[in-house]
Amino acid sequence: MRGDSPGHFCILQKDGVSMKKGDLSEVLEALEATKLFKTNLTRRVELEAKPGIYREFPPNLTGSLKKALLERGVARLYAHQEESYRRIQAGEDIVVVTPTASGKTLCYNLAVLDRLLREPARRALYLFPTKALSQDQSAELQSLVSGTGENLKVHTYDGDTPTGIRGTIRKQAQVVISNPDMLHTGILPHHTKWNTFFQNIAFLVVDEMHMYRGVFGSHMVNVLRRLARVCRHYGSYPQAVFCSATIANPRELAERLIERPVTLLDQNGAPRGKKRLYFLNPPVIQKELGLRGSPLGMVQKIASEFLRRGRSTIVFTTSRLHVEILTKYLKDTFEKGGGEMEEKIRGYRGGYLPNLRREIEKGLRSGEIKGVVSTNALELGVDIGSLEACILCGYPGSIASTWQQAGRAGRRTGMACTVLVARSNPLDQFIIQNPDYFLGRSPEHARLNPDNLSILVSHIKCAAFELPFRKGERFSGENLEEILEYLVEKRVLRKYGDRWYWAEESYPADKISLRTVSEENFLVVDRSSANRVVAEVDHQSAPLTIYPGAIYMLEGQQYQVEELDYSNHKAYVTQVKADYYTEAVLFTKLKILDVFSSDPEDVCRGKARMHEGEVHVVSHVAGFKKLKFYSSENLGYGEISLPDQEMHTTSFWITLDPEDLVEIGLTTQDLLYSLAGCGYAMQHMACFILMCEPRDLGKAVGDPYLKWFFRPDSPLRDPPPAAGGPGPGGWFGDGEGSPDMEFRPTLFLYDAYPGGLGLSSHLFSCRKELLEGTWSLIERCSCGHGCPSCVGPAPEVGELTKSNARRLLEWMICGAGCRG
Amino acid sequence: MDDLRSRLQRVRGLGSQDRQAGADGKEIGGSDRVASLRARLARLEQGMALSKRSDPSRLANQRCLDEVLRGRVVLNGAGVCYEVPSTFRKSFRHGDYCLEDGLGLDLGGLEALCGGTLGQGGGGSRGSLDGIRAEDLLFLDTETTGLAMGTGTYVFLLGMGFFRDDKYCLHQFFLRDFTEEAALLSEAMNLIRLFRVLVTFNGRRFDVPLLETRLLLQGMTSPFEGMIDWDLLYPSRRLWRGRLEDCRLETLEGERLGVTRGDREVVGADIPGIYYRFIHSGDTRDLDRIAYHNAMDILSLTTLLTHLDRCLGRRDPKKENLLSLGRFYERRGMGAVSVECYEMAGAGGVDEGERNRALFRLACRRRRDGRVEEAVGIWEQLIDRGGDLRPESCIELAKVHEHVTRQLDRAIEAVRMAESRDRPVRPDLRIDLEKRLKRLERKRSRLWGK
Repeated sequence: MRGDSPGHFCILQKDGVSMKKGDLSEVLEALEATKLFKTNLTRRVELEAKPGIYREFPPNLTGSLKKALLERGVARLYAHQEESYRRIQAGEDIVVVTPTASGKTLCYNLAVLDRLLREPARRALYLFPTKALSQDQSAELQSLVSGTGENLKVHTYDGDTPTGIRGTIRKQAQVVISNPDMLHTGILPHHTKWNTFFQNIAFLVVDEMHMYRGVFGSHMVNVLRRLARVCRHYGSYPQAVFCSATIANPRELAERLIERPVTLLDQNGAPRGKKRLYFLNPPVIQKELGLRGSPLGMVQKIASEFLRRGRSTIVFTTSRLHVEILTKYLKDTFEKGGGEMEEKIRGYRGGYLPNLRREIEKGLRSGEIKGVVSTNALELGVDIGSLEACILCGYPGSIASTWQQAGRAGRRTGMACTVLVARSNPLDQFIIQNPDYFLGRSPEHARLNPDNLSILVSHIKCAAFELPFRKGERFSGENLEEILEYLVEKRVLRKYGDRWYWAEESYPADKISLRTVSEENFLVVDRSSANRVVAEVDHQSAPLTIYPGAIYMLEGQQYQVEELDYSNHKAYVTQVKADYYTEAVLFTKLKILDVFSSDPEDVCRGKARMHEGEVHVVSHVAGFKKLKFYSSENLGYGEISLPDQEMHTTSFWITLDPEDLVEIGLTTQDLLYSLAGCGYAMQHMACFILMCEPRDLGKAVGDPYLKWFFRPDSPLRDPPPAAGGPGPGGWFGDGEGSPDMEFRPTLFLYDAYPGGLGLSSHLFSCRKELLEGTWSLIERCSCGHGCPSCVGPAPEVGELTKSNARRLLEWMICGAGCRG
Repeated sequence: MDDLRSRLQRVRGLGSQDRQAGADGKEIGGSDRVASLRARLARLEQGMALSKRSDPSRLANQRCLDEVLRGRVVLNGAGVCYEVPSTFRKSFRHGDYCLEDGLGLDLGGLEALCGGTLGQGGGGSRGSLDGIRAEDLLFLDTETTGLAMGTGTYVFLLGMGFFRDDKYCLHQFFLRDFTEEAALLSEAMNLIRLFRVLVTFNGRRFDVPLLETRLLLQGMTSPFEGMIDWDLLYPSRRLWRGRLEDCRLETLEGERLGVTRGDREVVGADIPGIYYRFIHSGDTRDLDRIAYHNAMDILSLTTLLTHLDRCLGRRDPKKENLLSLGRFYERRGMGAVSVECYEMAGAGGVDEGERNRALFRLACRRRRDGRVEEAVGIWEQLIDRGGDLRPESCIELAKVHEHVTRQLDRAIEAVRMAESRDRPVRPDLRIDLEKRLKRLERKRSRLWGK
């Protein structure tokens, strides 16, 4: 038997013969019999094969296009492809919801190419979320076009396009493939150079529509508003075609993006082979703290087994670092064997050069490469052939992504399997405990807020640069004229007669990134290397990451922040080698400004008072902890004095009344800790529902009118509490409390972006689901008294917090004396 | 239908306005909504760098536009615009040249040096240079609100200089406000159409595309299509790259045209700010300085053309351009003129390296023209001198002796000479020399063997 070296781990019984051939199902049976699977499997799901629903080519399809399809081995269309074609031909705006590997590009390419072949003067714009993806798809489309034998010009237009050919593309390319960032800075502000294109544009195709949520989505709506405006100027009204992965609200999202009604097509006609899903949870290795083993080891073992048996395998990880680690582990495993398997395993991530990526993709298609470890860079995009096994090292962050990644195994026919191995964070743990979410309707809602004032005003500036605004125009639901007048006052615009003109030196699109909300980034300047700028940090993260004394890490190199020039937005650092990292201690206080909605008691029979509205958030970074690497030992503390950050945003909150507290029966201190514990779990649950990152939401426990707030792990100040108020143990107040101050502990979950993104308002609409899901997360956690997977580590939050938090939630959901 | 209407409402975000409920839950009325929008906008200022506006200027002490610019209002079919006309005697001196030196230039030669065609139509130039005189040239320069070149960058000062009736005229069109743009462009374009050659500095990449954008936005056609385009940036680079700090008009002006600008000059980077200050507050300060700056640019453009003509005709006392010109003429197939250039450069007055290079090219041309002895003489001279063209000269000498004079010994000697000095020879040349030597020796031994 090969590979008896220490790096090799064999989990199956071997009879000395290497089992290269054989059905995947045999391999799976063998795997299921192993100890690893038996002890750690939480669920096994079998999805039956689904036959395809086929339709004949539409009768009026152009001959050359039909020929091109036949040459590629496509003799019939799937039902959804044919329906898309018909509806686009009929002039409808559509959104097609398809899982991966269901031939979605033909849903738009057929109708678009058909029209362009008949009317070569027409134009189409394809948008993909990233440059890499658009370049991948361009190659795909080019090959289809060349199959027709016609002279149709298709080209990408983005930051990588050589200047020499840009003019030709603008004038002549019939399909222009680009991305939102390029549209925003490189195309719209120069629309006169594109006059032929805009006069003739007939189609706008937006693929991977589900990516346009949160901040990015809010910006995208505005970029599309500007696009529509420019098209109108040239007399064009292009039709829209969207493609999306499965989310709960695809039609709503499409209609918000294009601001008019859209037809939904969500019946997938592609066949699907038999699929098996396995959910695995690494074992708890430290019961007291509730710590679980890392998934890396388990993933390595499983992947090795598949590869040893010649099964093509893809492993998805959640970080680039893990890609490198796992690739190394796997290569090491096979290196000693002396076979060629070692070369057949590759790593893949977005940072690689295009040539290398092409090479790996080609190798996957041809079977040269048997195993690949990747970030979600391979989730979308180019065809990589059909792999048999897919292993997810950690939950990808959304159900949609999970299905996209799983879809990489077993494209159309034949058996395939997906294994999800959880990490110890709350979201992963929740998913692993509740795998039913995968199998029913998607609970994930894409949320965005294009009328977030900060985002909206930025784009109004860009739009004014593109074309002067006229009286009577509309741009968003807000009062446009008022905003324009405001910009006139600020000397950004100038009004003449009934028009508003751009009147400032700068070029607005340059300063606006589509991925952030605030404008002014901080520059990180390395003094030890001739004042080179090494990084940019956005305004919000700055006080948390580049305060004086912070250790800032970038690509493995540590830098210490020596000076922070706040007003000039610069941080000066020097390279260091330290054995610790730093973590800022953030105090957050909130004040309610406006209540939009309240829940008196109709949704939950319980007693929690829930609301959503506008809040004022004050963030104060008081100091930072120095924590030793690996042991997280606290080495010391440093002071920081930075101005408070204030912002207005939207929030969801739960308030407890003084009378209720008696009913709950906890001491004040315990109550605060358990409320914080609920908040910890709830924040992760919220990310699950909202399809967002933990950093998109802020949480705080405190008084709704800034009088005090609570932070479980802070050892900092112990100001005197008001008489009758909360006790010591990490709370911070202004000393404004009076003896008869009402004690109204409140848990806030707010949008971490000024102006809000519509996240917390959605939480309010799903509050029942939110509370119940949070309860379930805590209840099903197998730790003893609290761990990072449910309410926070017990040593920080206290031994009783887990059970108290659960009780508190029960009380919130259904009142005293009942069990969830 | 109801479903559609409510969906449309929802989609248009009208639903969000419903949520503007006050703390007491009642709907806020129209003006209250505006007030709260205002308050929200005010709160935005912190993050949006909007409050960093420059101080509004003092309006006291302000002179009216006519006093500052001394222009006049012009009325045409598209509306009203503002023009600042001026005239110069042809004897007016701008630096080292008088304006009238620009009459009687070798326009054919200049076309070879500078020429190009404007416009994306690419339909060939608008006529040839037949019968072109100095009066058909238009010298153009613009001042803009930024360098970004998008649809929000305006041309606010469009300056045009030309010869007419024994004088030199300068017309500067100034954009008093954005509503006058159509009239301004209309007036300016009518003037442009009267000329056949457009002379600019970086106009091909900047001024012309920008003007075409403005024209498109106003729905007007471009007069530039097919015009002969003399963008002097390119010939300037050809002649002076590497010799001067840079090839900006300002630098050329100071270093080669003898021009110095007075106190009225304004720094280029300040120009957009000055104009916007006028637009927002009516403050006319420094607008005259922008006009001065623009006028100087155009006059320098005019004398630059004269200077280029002088260089081209080899009349420039500074002989620095001769080598570049020689090569330029060679590429154009004008061998005799190139020889003149090389001869002049070879005679002296230029730095050593250039002189050697000029002599080398001269030798090559001599050989071409059949004057082999002279060519050999020059190469031998270069070899003796031991400059950096030594190996190349050895190679050329060897070639001549191998194929023309048929003296293999001398050829071999020439190759050997390249290696004999201590100076390191470039790898590719060394390879050539080695191969050549081998081949020559083989050839020679075959000959002897006969």
